[in-house]
Amino acid sequence: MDFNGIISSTKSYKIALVIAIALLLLLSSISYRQIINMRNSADLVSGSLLVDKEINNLFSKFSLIEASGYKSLIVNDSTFKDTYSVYKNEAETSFKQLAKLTQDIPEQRQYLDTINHWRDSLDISLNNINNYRGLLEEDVEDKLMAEVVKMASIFQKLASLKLGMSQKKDVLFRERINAYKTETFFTPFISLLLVLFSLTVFLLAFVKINNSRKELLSAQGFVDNIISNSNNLVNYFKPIIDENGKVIDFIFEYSNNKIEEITGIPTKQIIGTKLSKSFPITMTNGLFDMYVTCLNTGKVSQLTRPYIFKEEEVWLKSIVSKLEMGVNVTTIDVSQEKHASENLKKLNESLFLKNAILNNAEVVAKIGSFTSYPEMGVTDMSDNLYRLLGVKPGDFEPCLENLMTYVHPDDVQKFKKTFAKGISSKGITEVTYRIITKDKKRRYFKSTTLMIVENGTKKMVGVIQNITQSIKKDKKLEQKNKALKLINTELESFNRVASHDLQEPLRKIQMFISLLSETERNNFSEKGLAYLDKIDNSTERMQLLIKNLLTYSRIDNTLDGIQPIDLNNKMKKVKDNLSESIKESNITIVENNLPTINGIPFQIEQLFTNLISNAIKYKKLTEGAQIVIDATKVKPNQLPTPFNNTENAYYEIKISDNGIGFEQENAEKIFNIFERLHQKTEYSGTGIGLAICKKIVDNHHGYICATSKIGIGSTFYIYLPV
Amino acid sequence: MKIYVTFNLNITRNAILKEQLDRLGFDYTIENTQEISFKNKLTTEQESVLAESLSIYGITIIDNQKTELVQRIKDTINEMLADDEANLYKISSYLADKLNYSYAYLSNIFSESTYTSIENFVILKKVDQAKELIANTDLTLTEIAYRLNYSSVAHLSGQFKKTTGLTPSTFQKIIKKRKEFNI
Amino acid sequence: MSLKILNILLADDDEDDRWLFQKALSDLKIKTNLSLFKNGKELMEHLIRTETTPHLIFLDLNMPLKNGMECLTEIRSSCNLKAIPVAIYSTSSSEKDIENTFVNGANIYINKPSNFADLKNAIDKVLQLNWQYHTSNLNKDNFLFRI
Repeated sequence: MDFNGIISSTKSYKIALVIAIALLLLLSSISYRQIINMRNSADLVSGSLLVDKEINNLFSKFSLIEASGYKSLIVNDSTFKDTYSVYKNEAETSFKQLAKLTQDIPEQRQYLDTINHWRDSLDISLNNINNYRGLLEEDVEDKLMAEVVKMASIFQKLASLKLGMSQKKDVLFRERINAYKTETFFTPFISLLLVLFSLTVFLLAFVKINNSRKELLSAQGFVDNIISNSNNLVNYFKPIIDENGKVIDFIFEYSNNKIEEITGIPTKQIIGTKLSKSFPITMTNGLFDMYVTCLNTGKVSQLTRPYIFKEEEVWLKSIVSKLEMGVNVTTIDVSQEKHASENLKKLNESLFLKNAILNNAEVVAKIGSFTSYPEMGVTDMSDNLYRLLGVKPGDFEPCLENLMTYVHPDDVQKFKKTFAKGISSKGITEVTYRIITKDKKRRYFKSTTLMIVENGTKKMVGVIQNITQSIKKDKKLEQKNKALKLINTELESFNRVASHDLQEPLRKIQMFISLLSETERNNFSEKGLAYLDKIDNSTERMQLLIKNLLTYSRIDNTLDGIQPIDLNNKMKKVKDNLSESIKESNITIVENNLPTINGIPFQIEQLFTNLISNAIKYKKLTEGAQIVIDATKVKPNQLPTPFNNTENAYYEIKISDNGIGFEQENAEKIFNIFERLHQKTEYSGTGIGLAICKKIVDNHHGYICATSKIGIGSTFYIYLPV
Repeated sequence: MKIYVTFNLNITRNAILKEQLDRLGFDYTIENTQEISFKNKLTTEQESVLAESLSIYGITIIDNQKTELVQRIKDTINEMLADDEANLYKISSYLADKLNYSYAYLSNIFSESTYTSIENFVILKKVDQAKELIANTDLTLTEIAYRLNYSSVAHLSGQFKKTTGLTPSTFQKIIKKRKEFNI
Repeated sequence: MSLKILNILLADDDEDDRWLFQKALSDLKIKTNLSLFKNGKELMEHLIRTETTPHLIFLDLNMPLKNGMECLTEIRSSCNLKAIPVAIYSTSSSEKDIENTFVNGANIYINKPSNFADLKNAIDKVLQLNWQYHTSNLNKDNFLFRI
């Protein structure tokens, strides 16, 4: 049972009210009755007490009468009559009073009747007494005495009557006092109950009222809050009607705080002002008319207009509805929406433009694109994709099956597999395949696809590139490459074989010449021997030349076998190899902490061997020959300019000697193959040594150059990447 | 896994001799490192059989005093090279002292029989030792030069190159590569 | 010198080289018994058949049918033959190739000289060295010589 519901519902409240009133009336009537009863009871009690008093009074009078009677008898007072009549009157009064008091008590009435009777008797008696007194009759005394005795017995009877009355009164009194007590016992309770009930009802009512008030307050507060915090401006207008009943203006009755925010005018300032005065523009832009119409027709309508507030243009949408005698207007700032819609329009335009560009780009780049929702089986293909396949855009329905009809039969499997993989993979999937266009042309396509999740649905986006051209180019390049490689290999083996095979006959020539010189010496003339010598020299030269050429050709361009080489160790080996000539020439070689470089061991060995042997060969005869080898690290900007360097840091290895030197203008020439600066009779050599050095250094992506001064010495600089 | 062995030439030789001579049933006495005396004279056939069975072990019967002397020279040289202290002596004086011949005579005999001089032979031996150390130990050239009583590494390298035609480092490289390929 | 005669084998496809070698050898003091072969195949066939173990084998590298390297490998893999010292006798090769021959088991590398005297000298040296190795308790595993 939803007690709260019942309480809060008006109907149940009314019923409760009725019940409460009824109960209240009931209780109050009960209480009233109770009090009346108590009052009656009290009256009765007081009545009893009065009776008691009167009885006492009466009988005291009788006692007085008795007493005075006796007294008069005793003293023989004549005043008795007077006093008796006084007392009799008093007794009469009292008797009457008592009679009145005991009106309702039959038993007391009986007593009273009896008392009355006896009173009369008394009266008679007393009168007799009085009468007798004056007489002097002889048996007056006896008559007196008899009357006295009668009086006495009357008083006795009266006394017993009093007693009876008193007793009766006591009984009645006790009854009444008990009743009174009972009444006084209940009455407070009933009254209290009544009071409490009343209190409770009042309290409940109060609480209910208070709660309702609170609710109301909070509801009001809520509404207030909404209104004041609403992004919307809420205004309530009362119309100003002229004498003809036409609405000429409106007055601001209520405005929430928003007005200050929008217009910059504080709320307090607005309220109470006229619409025409505060916002004159509304009189002409249709707002005023709309209000009037609404007021007259009660129809809800809206109007969006631009305004300028705070030096900015804002668009406000006003919705007006009739409320009692005035109009309630809600105004919404729609500037953003307006801007948004304008932006959207602009965006749309730019998007359209971009799309057009993209489409064009696709044509230029020879690519097509597609998006597909694999789960829903929906595919969208770009126009150029159709064109790539040799058909007009939209020629067939875009779907995987139709696309696959263009795929070369040999590649269909690959295509299917990769496509399936593409759906399940997270990254980019690529596949290259052939297609046959509508006009039977074969093309190479490359698909790049990616699965993305858009709003929970899987979407595949892909770009298809026509790579036919690049494939063709690649093939051509490959072919050329192969051809080149072949040529290269041929050339190399030609070189090697030529050199090698050339050496064979040469050696034979030399060998047989030496045999001739040795064994057939005697058979030759001087001239003959000299001729033999010449032949020998020439062949020796030729052999050296071929050997060097062989070495030169052996330096291949690949860097197979590249490894770190400690140049210190390498120098040691070179010095070992050249130990004899070093010893012979008495040359000192000093190397200072050479670095470790990456290179091909044999080639590096050759490089240094050639340079050192050159230094030995071209030493000065006059002084002790010396070679100094140094190494430093240099940055690319410190390298000599002709060098096309690509690495970050280089080692500069300096080999300087104090030999005969050469003209600096020849510094580049010397590295040319077969280039010599001296006669072959002056210094032996084939002109290949330095060319070999250059080839080796070039192979290691380095650079070699030299500086020299005639008669002083030469310095060779080798630059190798770190 | 590697184990390092060294052997006592004499014991080895004697053991082999004993084994072979016993096998062939000879009545013999091993007099010294060079000599074995037989109770009975050996026939040519017996001699050739013995020579053949001993040749497997590299033991040759020398029937020439000259050859014997040469062998003694060789042995002495071996001794000298094995002895660290004796290495300090000059070969000439050492041999002359040990064998009680003039060095010139010894030299002559040696060259005649072996077609190489004593000096060459010594060098050969030393280089062979160097080769041994390079191939089988991790000693540096400096250490090897020191051990073999060379005045410097350069001296050792020079002699090495002259004798073998290869530098010690090349030699080392080749030996290492050989081991890799399990030649 | 011992009475031993050195059994020497030479395989070289060049007729002149064979003749020169023989001539040089004959001029030397050391007594030798030379067998000549014009290619590797013939050499290997002989080696398999022969009863006499040669003391030294000279191999030219460039030969038809079976070249020097192939012979070398075969010799070094055969139980009977692997102890025979082998000298490669060839025209100039690269350092790498020379080293390679040693690594593959050659003991000697002779660069074919272009002078008869040098040839005699070279052969003489080789034979002497070889003889020393036979007679003087030197380690054949380390027998490497280049000239």
